[in-house]
Amino acid sequence: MAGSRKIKKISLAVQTLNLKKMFPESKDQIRKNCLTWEADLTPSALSKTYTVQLIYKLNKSPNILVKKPNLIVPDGKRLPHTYSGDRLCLYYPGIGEWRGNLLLARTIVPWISEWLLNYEIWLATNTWCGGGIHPSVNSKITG
Amino acid sequence: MFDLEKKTQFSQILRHLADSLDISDTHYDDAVKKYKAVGNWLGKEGSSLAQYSPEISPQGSFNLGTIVKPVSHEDTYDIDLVCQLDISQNEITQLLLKKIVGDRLRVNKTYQGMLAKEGRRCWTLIYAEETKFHMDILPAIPDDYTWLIQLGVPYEYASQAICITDKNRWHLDPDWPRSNPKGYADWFRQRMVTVFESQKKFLAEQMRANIEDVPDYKVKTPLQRAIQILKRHRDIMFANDPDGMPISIIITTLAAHAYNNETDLYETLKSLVKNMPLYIEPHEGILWVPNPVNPKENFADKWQEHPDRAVNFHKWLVKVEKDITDALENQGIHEIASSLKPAFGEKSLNEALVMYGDKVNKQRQNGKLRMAAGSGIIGSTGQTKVGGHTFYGRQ
Repeated sequence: MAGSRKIKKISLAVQTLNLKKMFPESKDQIRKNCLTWEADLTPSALSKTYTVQLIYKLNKSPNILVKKPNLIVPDGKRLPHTYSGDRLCLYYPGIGEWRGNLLLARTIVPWISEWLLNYEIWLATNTWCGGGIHPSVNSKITG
Repeated sequence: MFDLEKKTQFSQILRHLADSLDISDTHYDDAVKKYKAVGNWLGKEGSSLAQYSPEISPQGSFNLGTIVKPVSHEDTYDIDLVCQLDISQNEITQLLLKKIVGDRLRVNKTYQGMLAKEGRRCWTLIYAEETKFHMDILPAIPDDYTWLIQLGVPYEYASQAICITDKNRWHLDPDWPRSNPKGYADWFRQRMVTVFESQKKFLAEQMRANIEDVPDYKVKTPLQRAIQILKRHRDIMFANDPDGMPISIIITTLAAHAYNNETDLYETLKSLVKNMPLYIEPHEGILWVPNPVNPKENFADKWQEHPDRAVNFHKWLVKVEKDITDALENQGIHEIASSLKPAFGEKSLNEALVMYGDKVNKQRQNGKLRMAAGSGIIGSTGQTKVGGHTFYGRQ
C-alpha cells in the first residue's frame, strides 16, 4: 500500500532541473550533496527585484536568504516570519507543508515571492497581510 | 517604463485607496435611515406640510457616490438633502417656505434640539457626536422650467429644476434662486452610463442577483473613484487654505466632462488630470464652469473676485499629476507608498495597501494565486499555483 511505503525524495538533480525550467536565468550549483540556487525574483510589477539564495541538502530544510538588496528593518522592529540570520520562514515545520518529495520550484519558490510581496506591504504599513503564525506570540494558524 | 502589469497593479491599489476614502456601508445605511426619518416626519399625516407632499432626497456627493471621509477624525460628513414641497412660485415667498419647513422641524423635540443656527439656504441638523453627521436640508419648490428648455437644456434635466431660498437676498430680489441637483445627478450618471451599466451587470452576476435588485450606490465607476481620490488630494494640499481650494462641484463637473468611460482607474485619473482644464470656458474674459443643467449658472463665479482660485485650480492639477508620476518612478510598493503618503494621507494609503495585501492572501487561501515563471510575479495569472502554507518563525 502507498501509505506503508516510504515516499521517495526528489533528487537534487531533478529539483535543479525544475528550478531552471521555471527560472532559466537563475544560477545553480550542486556540491557535496548540497544545492545552491540563486535567482532574481520580482514579487509584483511594482516591487523591487530581489536576488534570493536557496541552499538545500537532502533530508534538511531549505535555507532561504535574500542577498540583494539588503532587507530593511525599521528601527525598533523585527522582520516578521524569519529565523535567525534573517532566513525566511515560509512554512509550518513538521506538518508536511514542505517535504522532500515536493518540488522546490512549486512550493518554496512561490512562497518566497509571496513573502517578498508581504514584506514590502509590511514595510509600508507595519501590517503583515500574509497570515501565518509566530509561535512565541500566538499559535493560531491564519494562513 | 510603465507596462500593463504595473498599470493593472497600480489601478488595484488606487481602487482600494478610493474604497478607504469612501463612506462605510454602516455610515451610509445610517445616513439613509436618518434622512428617511426626517422625510417621514415632515410628510406624515397630521404634519403642517402634509398637504404639500414633501419629498426628501439626497443631493451632492452623497447622492453622486463621490463622498470622501473627512480628513480628520473630528470632522463630520455633510449630507445634503433637498426638501421639495409641491407649491408653485406665486403661492409662497422664500421667507415663508423656509419658515414652514423650519417650524415643522421644531415641532419635533429631538430635531428642535439638533437644529443649528439658520443657514443662508438650509436648515442644518447636527447629529450626536459619534454618528458624525450634519444634514443640510434645503427647502425647495419646483421651478417653472420653460426658461431652461429655451436655453437648450434637455427636458429630462430641465423638468427637475427647483427654486430655493436665500435669506441674504430675499428682501432685495423677489426672483427665486435656482438649482437642479436631480437634473445634475442624472447628467452625471449619463456621463458614465456605459461603464456603470456593465459594472452593475457584473456585480449582479457576482451577487447572483437580478440587476434591478443591485442598489446603484454599490456600483463605483472609475469616474467616481477618481473624483474621490482627486478630492482627497485637494483636501490635503489645501488643508491650510480651505477658502482657496478648488470646490467639489467644479472638480466633479470637469471630471465628468473629461471622462470617456475608461475602465481602468489609473488611465481615468491620467486622462481627467490632462483634460479637465479643457472644459473651462472663457466667456468674454470671464472663466466659466457652467452648470451642465443650467447654462446660466457659473460654478466658478467666485474666480472673478478671487483670481487666485483659478490659479490654484491649475496648480493643483499639475501637482496631482506630478505626485502620481513621481511615485511611480520608485520601485517597491513601500517606496511608492512613502512617496504617495504625503499627497493622499498615511492612514488612507495604509488602509488601501492592507486591503490589497488581504486580498492577495485571500486569493492564495482560495487556491487562486499564481506565480509567473521567469519573473516570480504573484497574481491571478502565471503558470505555478501558490500552494497552501503557513508563514512561521519569530516575529
